[in-house]
Amino acid sequence: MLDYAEADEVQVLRHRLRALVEEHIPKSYLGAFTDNPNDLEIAQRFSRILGEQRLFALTWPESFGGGGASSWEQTALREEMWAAHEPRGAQYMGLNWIGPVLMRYGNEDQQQRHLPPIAAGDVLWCQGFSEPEAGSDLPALRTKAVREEGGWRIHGQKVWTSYAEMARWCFLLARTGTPESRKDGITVFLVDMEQAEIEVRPIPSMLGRHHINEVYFTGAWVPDRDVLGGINEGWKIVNDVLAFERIGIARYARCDKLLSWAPRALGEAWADLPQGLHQRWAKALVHSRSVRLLAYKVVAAQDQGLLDPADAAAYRIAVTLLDQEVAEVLMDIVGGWGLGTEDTERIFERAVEDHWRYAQASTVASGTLEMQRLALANRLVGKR
Amino acid sequence: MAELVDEMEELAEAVSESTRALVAQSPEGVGWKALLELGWFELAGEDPRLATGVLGEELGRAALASRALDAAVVHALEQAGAPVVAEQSHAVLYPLPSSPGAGQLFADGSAELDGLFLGGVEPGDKILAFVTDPAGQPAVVRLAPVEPSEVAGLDGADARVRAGRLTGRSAAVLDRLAPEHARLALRTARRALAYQLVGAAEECLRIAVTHVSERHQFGRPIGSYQAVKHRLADVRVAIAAARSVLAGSWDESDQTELTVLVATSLAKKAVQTAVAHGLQVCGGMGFTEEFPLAPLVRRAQFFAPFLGSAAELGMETARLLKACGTAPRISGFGTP
Ligand SMILES: Cc1cc2nc3c(=O)[nH]c(=O)nc-3n(C[C@H](O)[C@H](O)[C@H](O)COP(=O)(O)OP(=O)(O)OC[C@H]3O[C@@H](n4cnc5c(N)ncnc54)[C@H](O)[C@@H]3O)c2cc1C
Repeated sequence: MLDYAEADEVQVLRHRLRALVEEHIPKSYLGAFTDNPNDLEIAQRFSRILGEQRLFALTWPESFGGGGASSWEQTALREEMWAAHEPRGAQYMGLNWIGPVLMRYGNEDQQQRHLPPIAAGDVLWCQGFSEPEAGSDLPALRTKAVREEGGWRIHGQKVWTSYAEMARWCFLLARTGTPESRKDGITVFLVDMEQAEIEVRPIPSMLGRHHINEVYFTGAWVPDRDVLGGINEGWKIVNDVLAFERIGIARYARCDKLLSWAPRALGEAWADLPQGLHQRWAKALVHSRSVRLLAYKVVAAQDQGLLDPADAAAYRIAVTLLDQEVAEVLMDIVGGWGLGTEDTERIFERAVEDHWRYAQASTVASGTLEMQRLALANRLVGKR
Repeated sequence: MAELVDEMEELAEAVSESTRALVAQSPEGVGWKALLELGWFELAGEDPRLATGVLGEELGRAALASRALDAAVVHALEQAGAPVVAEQSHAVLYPLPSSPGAGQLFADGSAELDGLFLGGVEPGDKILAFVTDPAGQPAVVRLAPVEPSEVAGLDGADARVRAGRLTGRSAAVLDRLAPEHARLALRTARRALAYQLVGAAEECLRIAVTHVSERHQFGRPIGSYQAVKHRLADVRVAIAAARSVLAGSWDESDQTELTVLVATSLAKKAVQTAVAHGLQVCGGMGFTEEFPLAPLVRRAQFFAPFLGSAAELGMETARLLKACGTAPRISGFGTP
């Protein structure tokens, strides 16, 4: 039996995090990637504050700068942060999967060099997987690593790379096998982004001007010490990455927060909403609570090393669909979308608008809904 | 009979072509003068369905700013004998989303306004406004001219709509239209809006179909995968549903109001479906500003709550149905 009562230390942590958010994050904050450079500043500063208090890499071993906490505390951290529009900015990526993957596959030197800066909250990473011709079909990637004395030179192009503009390091997939080698010829490189041979071009999008990018590699250098795992053994690592990614974001927490906020935000207008909309609101709230339970089941299983990948996939499908359901309901509730959403007074409307755009992308980013469904269904019908 | 059908098809084709040309030449939007020069009002006199449908759909596809809703409203009112003349440029003030009127009318005849002009206002424009009367009933009034400087832009909204907001002004009300004209004005505006939404949905679908035909993954066009095909089919179904009810909404009967309500709500549903599925099947590309979905997504979102959100339209439909005590067939049902 699962015990859903939250342990005292988890409650204490929540209160501590809420107090920190209250103190350091302005009410109007909607994420780090807006047109306002202050927002990025806020996130960077907040990450360092968390780092100083060892609240950043909460579950990591203390030797890597972590807090040695339980995965329930980590879950609370993820929930509190996502509900507050992720005041850690892009840092969650380093925490959710880059760090854990380095712990699993990195050698001692790599761990010593890369983990403490992530745990301290002062280095940003990006994920260089997708390419123009390799989206859902990731094994088709063509960015090439060419062997030279002491290391590798990278040539090629990545696309949709989140946060590349501000990242110091890139977790890059490149081809080291023959062009036809697909999954068997991919290697992971940890690439220092501060080189003249890397050019980042932001792609203006619905997710803001500073979110996704194209990244061009024209002979960027990676020394041997920054090859992660074996040559041509990258695909195994990728699968692990994706498994971590799938359960890393507590989307239900923001859904729950926005839904719970709606009656207060609307005030007297709440009672005048069409009845059908009240019903959809209640239903969405129930869905968000049930997805939360699904998340807890996954966390518990992962804790015991018994996580069924099908459950992880089911959770990810459920949580992204929840995101979209909630976005539609909230949009109908605020009605006046687009009207004066730049108005900083109308925080709720702006939060809903922001949520809507990100919810649309949640079924595309880190593997599309269709690919998730296929992966899950293929497990069910016994195809790999 | 066959000849008549041919002739009608030719006319529709000719109208579509000249409308497309106008839309293509008007990146800044289609104003009243352009509609007069196009001969839109004469065409609307002869065939309002064709005139409204073609203009609305083309504008919807292009996600352009226009006076098309205003023109449809004024034309319908003129035809119905209301004191307006389509020769003169009009601007209509619409309610903000979720509010019943673009202002409150007081017993002394004055009004306090807060509403939206959709395609801007020019000096000398005659002004009509959807307002709420002292008894809380919807009404349409004619107002003294408005200075364009009184109209504020809309922050954060779809800039290509060119909508402007007129706030907090106590305006001189010239006169109030008859209640049946007020109702006619609202359903005409909704219907014209519905055509724009159907046009936008069609364009999303066209973009999506083109993309999935050209984009390859796993060595095949992504349009060859069932999961992708199903989404496209669902969009097409939603558009067809909206179109058929819209077509039926032109037969004047005691159910016209109901039919227009249903058509508007189906059109909103269609464009929302088209946006959601369009974004999904276009993958990362769909979210970029350079990709043609972006203006359509913004337009769909801007219009979703306008003149009644899906939930509000549903409530109104239920009210009408309850009031008539039966479940009437939708008007136009059975006509080709
Ligand atoms: C906001 C955002 C952030 C991102 N951040 C990053 C990042 O940091 N790093 C990174 O590497 N990538 C990133 N991505 C890219 C993301 O991983 C890809 O967009 C995603 O994998 C889909 O690839 P694609 O865009 O090429 O779409 P496509 O693969 O072209 O897919 C288009 C459509 O076809 C469907 N489809 C494709 N193949 C099949 C099939 N076999 N069966 C059924 N349906 C199919 C898809 O489900 C989708 O609906 C990001 C994307 C977004 C939107």
